[in-house]
Amino acid sequence: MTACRDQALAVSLHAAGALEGAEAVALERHLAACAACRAEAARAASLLSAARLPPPGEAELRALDGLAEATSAALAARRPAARTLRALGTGRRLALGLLAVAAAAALVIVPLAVRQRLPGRAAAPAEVAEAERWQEPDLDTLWQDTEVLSLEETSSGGQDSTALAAYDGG
Amino acid sequence: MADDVERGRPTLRVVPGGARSGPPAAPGPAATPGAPAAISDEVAVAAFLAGDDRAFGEVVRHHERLVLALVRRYARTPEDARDLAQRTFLRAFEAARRTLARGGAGAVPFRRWLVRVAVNLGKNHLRDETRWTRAPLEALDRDAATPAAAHEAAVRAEREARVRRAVLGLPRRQREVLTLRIDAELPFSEIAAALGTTENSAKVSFHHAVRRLQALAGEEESP
Repeated sequence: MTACRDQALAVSLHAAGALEGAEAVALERHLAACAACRAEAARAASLLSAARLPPPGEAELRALDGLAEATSAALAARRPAARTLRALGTGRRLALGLLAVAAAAALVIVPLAVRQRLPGRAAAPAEVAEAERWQEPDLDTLWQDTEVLSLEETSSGGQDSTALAAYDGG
Repeated sequence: MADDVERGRPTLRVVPGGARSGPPAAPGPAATPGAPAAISDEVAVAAFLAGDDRAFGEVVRHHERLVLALVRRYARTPEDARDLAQRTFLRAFEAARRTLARGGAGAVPFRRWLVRVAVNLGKNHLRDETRWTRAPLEALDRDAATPAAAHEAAVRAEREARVRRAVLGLPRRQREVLTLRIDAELPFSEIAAALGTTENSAKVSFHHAVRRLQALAGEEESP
């Protein structure tokens, strides 16, 4: 008398209490009709029962006392940055935080300030001087001024070239 | 400190249901007494990394019975089991820390890692016979009403020791599936997730484990 092969998997799962719903109902119906599978199910259940450990005893449960704290402490000890911060105390941590904020602000402000003094803008003093010399043009004499500029551009005098170079900031 | 915890939260994708991927099939060692963890393992691990030392303690308390159930088969003494449990938490935490440091996938399946680390660490730890593979002296049952009852208890204890030794001799995958089921009462869906396989494959491995165990323990069906 041998157990049915097509029920073997279900019998093992049944012995482990892992069969549910329609599968459990179907197997129960089969076991009621098949002595060989019934014997196999009983043997598997007995085997698993022997393989199971007894519930944890008092000594085992007591050994867990303080496990959470000890594990957390072991982990915290592996976190050097956090350990250093804790050692500093609240006041110093606050100071360190403010220092970090100041450093972050400096990182933003300094590039902006430096950008104002990029190499291409090195002639800032000449620009300032020119701005100070600037006068609102008189519309009546604007054409005359244009003519003057035109004449100066076409002239090849060294003095004029120097003046233009100074004007361009060269 | 609380700010650190808050800062950690938006970067995480919390697995629905927190640490539990499904209800246990039956009450057993895995069933954690009391209410589920107030915060998920993922958030707690991130909070710990952000400096909240209490956060990981909560995770340990939430899972310590499960981890004990998984490692005690390989332990010689209760202190040995505690040591194994602590190493399991430390290793699983290290895996979580690395994942979060890499920016990972966001979710940290911490309970799944705990289960996997526990079954591997337990077997690697095993060097000598464990106390569960020896028939205990108590089996002599000095208080038994009759000599026949004492003899019966001794025979039963000897059989249990033989079967438990056979469990340790199973092929790796069969041993893992069998112990996750009978030691921690995990549902096959969670066993499959922890071992990186399918639920059907885990069930078939369990069936093979039962058959192999019968053979190893000398309890095969007579032809």
